[in-house]
Amino acid sequence: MKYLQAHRAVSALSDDAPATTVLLVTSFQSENLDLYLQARHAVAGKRLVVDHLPFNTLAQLSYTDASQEEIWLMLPWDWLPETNWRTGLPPAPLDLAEVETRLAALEQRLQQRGVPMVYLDAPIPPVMATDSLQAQLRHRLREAAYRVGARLIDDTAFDLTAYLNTGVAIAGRNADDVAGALYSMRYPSPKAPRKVLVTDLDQVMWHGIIGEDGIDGIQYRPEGAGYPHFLYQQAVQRLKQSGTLIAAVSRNDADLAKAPFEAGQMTLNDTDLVAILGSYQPKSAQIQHLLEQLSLGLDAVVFVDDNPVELSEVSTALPEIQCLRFPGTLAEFPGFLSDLLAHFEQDTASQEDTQRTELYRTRLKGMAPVDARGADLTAFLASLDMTLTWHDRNETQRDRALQLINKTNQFNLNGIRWTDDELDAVLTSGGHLFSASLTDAHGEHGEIMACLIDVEGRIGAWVMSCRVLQRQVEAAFLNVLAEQLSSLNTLYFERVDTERNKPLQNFLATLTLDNQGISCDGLHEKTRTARTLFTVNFDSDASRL
Amino acid sequence: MEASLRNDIDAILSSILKLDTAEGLNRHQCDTWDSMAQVALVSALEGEFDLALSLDDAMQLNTLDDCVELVNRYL
Repeated sequence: MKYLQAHRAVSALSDDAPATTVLLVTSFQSENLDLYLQARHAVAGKRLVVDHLPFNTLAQLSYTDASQEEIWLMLPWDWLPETNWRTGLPPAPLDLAEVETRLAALEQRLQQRGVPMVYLDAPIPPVMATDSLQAQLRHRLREAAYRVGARLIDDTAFDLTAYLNTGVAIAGRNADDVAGALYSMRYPSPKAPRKVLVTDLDQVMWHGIIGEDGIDGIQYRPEGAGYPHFLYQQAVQRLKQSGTLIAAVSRNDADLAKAPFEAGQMTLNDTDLVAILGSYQPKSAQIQHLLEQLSLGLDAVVFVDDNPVELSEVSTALPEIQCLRFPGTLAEFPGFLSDLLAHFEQDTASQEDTQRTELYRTRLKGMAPVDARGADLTAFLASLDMTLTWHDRNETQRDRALQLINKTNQFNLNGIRWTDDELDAVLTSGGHLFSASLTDAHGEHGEIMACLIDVEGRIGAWVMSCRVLQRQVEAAFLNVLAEQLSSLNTLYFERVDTERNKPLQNFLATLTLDNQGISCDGLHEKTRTARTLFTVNFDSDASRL
Repeated sequence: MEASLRNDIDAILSSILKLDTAEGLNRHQCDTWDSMAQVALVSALEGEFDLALSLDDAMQLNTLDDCVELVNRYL
């Protein structure tokens, strides 16, 4: 955002926009950030008042408790004053061990304070005895910032000339970017990691063209031209292990596309991929077909190809898909890998995550043939021999249920994300968190449903993994729920229609709710037929209420 | 183009000085055009036009005409 655009955004804000005040904690002249920070808030409909610290009081502030909402923008010399260009060089080189002690103490104070923070990794003057120690110090400063949860921004935002002459550390042309980093620390976006990596094969998974070079001519080992492809396969394998589904699309004959994976010589083998599609159809059509089979949305996908024409074809036909170009040079490769992995970032990997490929391969085996779509699937579903296992997650093992609630989009009652604390509040006041696992003739699908209900029967969260759509699990689950909560008389669905929860909307339409409510008896009756498709078990922790 | 640029720079300068327009204004005759306003002006011009102004040039900005001439020189 440019200056005037930011100015217009703030000016256009309505008088009754909700206002907040934040203390922008810096040790330098940072007033030039105010407008951009205010504009970021204005775009989101919020008015912001920015307070600044009195000069030279940042260190002092770190010893106090936060008395108002703060956001910190730290420079290296806020950690270690001897690195401040404006105070000149220290008379003698610093001792790294002594520095370590001081950094650890400040780290501890800032961790306790727990404020959102951005760290500008500005260059520092030579304060150590050797280049090696100097490099260690810069590394240690970054590490300290990471440890207190700061977001790092690189030194290009720092303006040494302006800082020395006016005390302004952030150049005007970088002020908006820095304000953006501050805003995103203050209002972090909910993570929406992509779930599927669809990758090209020739010149991506390996160097060479399988149809021309043959299986012995392609290169994928850690040597020569094969090196980036070896590293890519390792990265893909890591994604697979953390729960990302990997699929390949290739304009090849299917047997050719599969051959290198089946040969077992590469880092990846055919069991690492949920599907390997070889076809001369446009890649967008191949991807769309695959997603239909997996019941996943387009916005779950990252597509990697080396060919700009293919990337263009996919991004034009399926704009929701995130397209990444496999780099043509090694110099671009580190940035590409970093971008790729960032799309799938997850803080933790559950057992479900690590087994996801297998679960979806199971689903592909178990789904109705494409030409059977639209027919009555009851007989087909009955043949799947499905077992639904009911879990009470009030006391233990709630991680997967909460993860489901916070990552599911399509079959999601309202799209609301819940924190552990919010969940606790509902449960300690008499609410319930239930989940369910599914197995069928083809194997285990894992814990696929979660439901949070408060003490008055208001369903605040209800989600189901989209990999088990069309099996009537949702109806069977509600049938059990109605049975479990029959003492409540009526259940209320706190429903919000989102752009992406159409499957949920369609299902609720079949229940004929009255003001989003339905009696437990009515619900039990409406879902009775679906229940007959399942054997229902209660796990050892799930006692009947 | 020139008129549009002048209008934009006038909008920037007058927003910083909290005036309706900066036409005809001279830094030495304006109470609100102090050193803080000068710093804000340089940052705003850099932010609007993606420039890196030198300190010497920045210190020479005393009128709207100076600003327009300087930005034109950097663009």
